[in-house]
Amino acid sequence: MEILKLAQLMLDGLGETMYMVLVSTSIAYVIGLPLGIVLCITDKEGIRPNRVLNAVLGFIVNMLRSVPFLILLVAIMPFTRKVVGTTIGSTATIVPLIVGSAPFIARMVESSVKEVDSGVIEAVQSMGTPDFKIITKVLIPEAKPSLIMGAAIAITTILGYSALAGFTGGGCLGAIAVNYGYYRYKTDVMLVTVLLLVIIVQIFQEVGMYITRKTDKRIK
Amino acid sequence: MIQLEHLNKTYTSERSEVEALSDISLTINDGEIFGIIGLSGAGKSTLVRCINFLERPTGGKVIFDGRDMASLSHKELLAARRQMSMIFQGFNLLSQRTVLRNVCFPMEIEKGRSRSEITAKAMDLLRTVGLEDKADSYPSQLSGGQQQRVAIARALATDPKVLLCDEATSALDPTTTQSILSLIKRINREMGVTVIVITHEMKVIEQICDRVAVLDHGLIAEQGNVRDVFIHPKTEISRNLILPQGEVTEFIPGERCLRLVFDGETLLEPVISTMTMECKCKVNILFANTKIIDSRTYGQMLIQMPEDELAQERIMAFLEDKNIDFREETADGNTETGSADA
Ligand SMILES: Nc1ncnc2c1ncn2[C@@H]1O[C@H](COP(=O)(O)OP(=O)(O)OP(=O)(O)O)[C@@H](O)[C@H]1O
Ligand SMILES: [Mg+2]
Repeated sequence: MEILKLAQLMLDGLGETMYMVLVSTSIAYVIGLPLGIVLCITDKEGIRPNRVLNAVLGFIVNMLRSVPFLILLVAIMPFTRKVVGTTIGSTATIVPLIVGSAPFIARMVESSVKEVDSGVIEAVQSMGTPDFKIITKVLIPEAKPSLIMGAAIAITTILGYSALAGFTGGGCLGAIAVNYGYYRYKTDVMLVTVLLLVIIVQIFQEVGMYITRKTDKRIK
Repeated sequence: MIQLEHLNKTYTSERSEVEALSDISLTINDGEIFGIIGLSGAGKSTLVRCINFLERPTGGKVIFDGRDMASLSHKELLAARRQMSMIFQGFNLLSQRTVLRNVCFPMEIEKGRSRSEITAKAMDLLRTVGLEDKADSYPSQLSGGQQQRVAIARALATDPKVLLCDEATSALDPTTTQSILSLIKRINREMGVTVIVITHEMKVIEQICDRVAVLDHGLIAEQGNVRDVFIHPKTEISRNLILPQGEVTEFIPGERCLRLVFDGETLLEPVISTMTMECKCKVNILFANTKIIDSRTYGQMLIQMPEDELAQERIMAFLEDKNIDFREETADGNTETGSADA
C-alpha cells in the first residue's frame, strides 16, 4: 500500500478513536463518578451508611463488570439500536463502551474516595459540615490526585475496549488492525496500528501521572 | 455550659457488646478548662464524640447551652457543632488546601459570607497562632506543632464557645507540647472559650486544667479540682496516672517518703536545697518531674526523708511554711498499686 494512503487511513483511525474514547470516557464518568461516590458514602464506614442501597448498587456494578466486553457489546445491541438508531459504526460503539466502563470507573472512584483520611472527615463533620458539602468540598478535592490517576487508567482501558469494537465495524484504530491484519494478512498495517495504540496509551498514562504529581500537595 | 447526665454508650456488633461509657455525669462550667484523663481505651475519644453528637449516646443526656442535644433538628445539630470546635491528635488538616484555605474552610460552609471577609478573618486567626507567614504553605510542608496551630486557628474560625481537644498534644515533643498548651490557655483566657482537654498525660492536666475527671473503663473514677485530685487521689487509677508505675523503682520499705506537688503557686527557687540547709538534714530525691514555666514550678517530686523523726518534723513544717502541698506515700501503698496493675 502506498505510504500516503496508509497515512490517511491511520489519521482517520486516530481521529475516530479519539472521538470514541473521549466521548465515552466523559459520559462514563458522568455516570461512574456519582455512582462511585454513592458506593463509598453508603458503605458502613461511610458518612451515610445505607446497607440496602450499597448492596444493590454493588451487585449491579459487579454483574456488569464480570461480563466480558465482547459479549456485552453483542448482548446490548438491541439497547444500542434504541439509543443511537444503529449498531454499527463508531457512534454505536460508544454505547457499549459506556455501559462496559461506567461500573469499572465507579469502583475506581469508590476506592479513590475511600482513601481520604477518616480523621479529616471527622474533623469537617465536627465543624457541622452538611454531607453534600463534605462530598463537594472535601471528598472530591482531597481525592483529586488519585481520581486523576484513575482517569488515566480508565481512558487506557476504554482505548483497549474500543479496539474490540472493531469487530462491529467502527472505523477506529482497533478496527483497522483487525480488518487489515487479521482478515487481510497485511501485517505491516497491523504493526503500525498497534504501534500507534501503544504510543497513545503511553501518552495518556504519562500525562495522567504528570498531572497527578502536579496536583498532589502531599508530596514535596 | 455542658452537662452530661448519666451518659451511656454501648457499641453493639453481631457478636459482642462493648460498653464504652457508662453513667457519665459531669458539669463543665463556662470559661473553665476541664480535663478528662484516662488510659488508652478508657473511652475518652468516645466521650468527646458523644459530646458533639458525632456519636449518638445510647443513654443519658448531653445538655449544651441549656439545650438537649438529642432534641435538636439536623440543621440545629450542625449549628451546635459549630459552637464546639474540635482539635485532634492527628491534626486532620485538608491536605490539598493551603494553610490559609484550611482556616477558611469552616467559614466557607456558612451562607452569605464574602470571600474577602473570610480571608481577612482567616489571616487574623493565623496571626493569633503565629503562623501568618505560612499562609500559602501546604500542611505537608509544616511541622506537627505548626499543623496543630493551623488546626487551632481553623477551630476558632466559627467563633466557638467550646474547644474540644482530643489528645491534641500527644503526637508532639515536650517543647512543642508546652507551646500548644500555652496557646490553648491563652485562647481560654483572652477569648473566653471553654476548653475540654482529653489526655492520658497528667502533666497536661496539671499545667492547664482547672478541674479534672478521671475516666477508667468507661466510668468516672473521680472528679474534682486538679489540685485536690493531684494531692489526694482517692482511687488506684488516679494514683497510677499521677505517679506512673515503673518510674519509682527505689522505694525502700519502712522509709517515710513524701510526694511534693508544685502547682504553679511556688515561685522559682531552689526549694530542696533551701530545705536541706534550713532543716539541717539530707533528703534523697527518688523521683522528680518538675517544670518551670513563667518562673513558676509545676509538677511533682518524691523525696525520701531522713530517719531522724525530729528532722522529719522540721521538713514537714518547712513545707507547710512554704505552702508546698505534700502527701506521705508509703512503700506498701505503692507495692499494692503495682500488684493490682499486674
Ligand atoms: N466504633 C466502635 N465500635 C466498637 N467499639 C468501639 C468503637 N469505638 C470505640 N470502641 C471501643 O470503646 C472503647 C473506648 O474507646 P476510645 O477510643 O473511646 O478510647 P480512648 O480512651 O480514646 O483510647 P485512646 O487513648 O487509645 O485513644 C474501646 O474499648 C474501644 O474498643
Ligand atoms: Mg482516643
